[in-house]
Amino acid sequence: MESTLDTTKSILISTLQLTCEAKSLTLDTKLLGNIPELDSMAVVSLITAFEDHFDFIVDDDEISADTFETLGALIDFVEEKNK
Amino acid sequence: MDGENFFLNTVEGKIYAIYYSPTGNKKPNANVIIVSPFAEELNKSRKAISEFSRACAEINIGVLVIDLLGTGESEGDFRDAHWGKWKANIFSAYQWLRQRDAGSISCVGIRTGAILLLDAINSNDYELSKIIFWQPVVSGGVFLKQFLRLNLAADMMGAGLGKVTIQSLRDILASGKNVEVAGYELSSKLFHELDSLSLNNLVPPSRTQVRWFEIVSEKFQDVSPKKQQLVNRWRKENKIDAEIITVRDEPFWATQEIVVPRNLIEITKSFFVNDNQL
Repeated sequence: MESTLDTTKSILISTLQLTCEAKSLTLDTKLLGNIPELDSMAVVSLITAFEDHFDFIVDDDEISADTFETLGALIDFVEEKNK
Repeated sequence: MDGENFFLNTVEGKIYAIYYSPTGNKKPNANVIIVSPFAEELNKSRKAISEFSRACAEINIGVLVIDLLGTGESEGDFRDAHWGKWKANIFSAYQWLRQRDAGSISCVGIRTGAILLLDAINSNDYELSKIIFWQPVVSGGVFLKQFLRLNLAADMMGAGLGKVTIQSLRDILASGKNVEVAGYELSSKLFHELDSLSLNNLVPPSRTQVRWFEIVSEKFQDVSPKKQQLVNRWRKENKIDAEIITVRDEPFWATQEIVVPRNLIEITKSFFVNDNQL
């Protein structure tokens, strides 16, 4: 079973069609405002991809701009949902 | 040879259609109707649809692509579109092919097009050879939640002022008003129709082969257990020749850049070629 970190990274890369390497992304990597591909459409695609992959449902009050601020914040969110 | 475009006159209005004849204008062995996905997903899918249609033309299969009322080049605005009209559009497309003595007719339902297709088939008299789903949406409600989330995301990124929530949007829709999402004016009527529908409550007709193509990536190759259970139920309880087939390809309906799902097109095509019943 791969870690949430690896899974989150690969969903991020495949959903946004990023060309960077997974290892170049760290917990401190800034997402919103830093990755140009991450527009509102992409945020929605990402949440949907997480829902599909992890089989959880995200309520709208659970997400905010903070969730997408850094990769670390996003992973915390995914781990919390997976509990 | 590329598609021939025309307007199909229906009771509800004129719908734009493209018919891709088999290469060399031969009489087709079979025909396919494409049932489109929803809103922006249709724009992302157009290239996949046209490439699939051309691939079918090479193997002597005709493909009819229609823009549902209120979408694409068809008459009407998106805000006036509703489920009943869309179901009627699909039946008009089916009748158009039947009048051409087109041989067997099959349908490809893409994303929410799968729900629309099954609902349409159950409301009218169809005789279909095959039903193909490309990454079908199972629950209309979950899909709409994801669709409404586009407004939330826009709000979150600073475009809006107040705090938009899915519930606040649902409340507006429940009061009978429309909501604009990503440039599409979603009517209360269409919202509530799709919201109540799910593949879980629909059953494909018997004597029709159903192939559900699910896109998987290199890393994740599992089909969700819920989807597998649904198809198992169709097989066991409804005795339908249904199967989920995973295809390694790009999520073409959602990618940032337009992509053509070559593997999906090839595998779908081979499903027609390998069938001697055509």
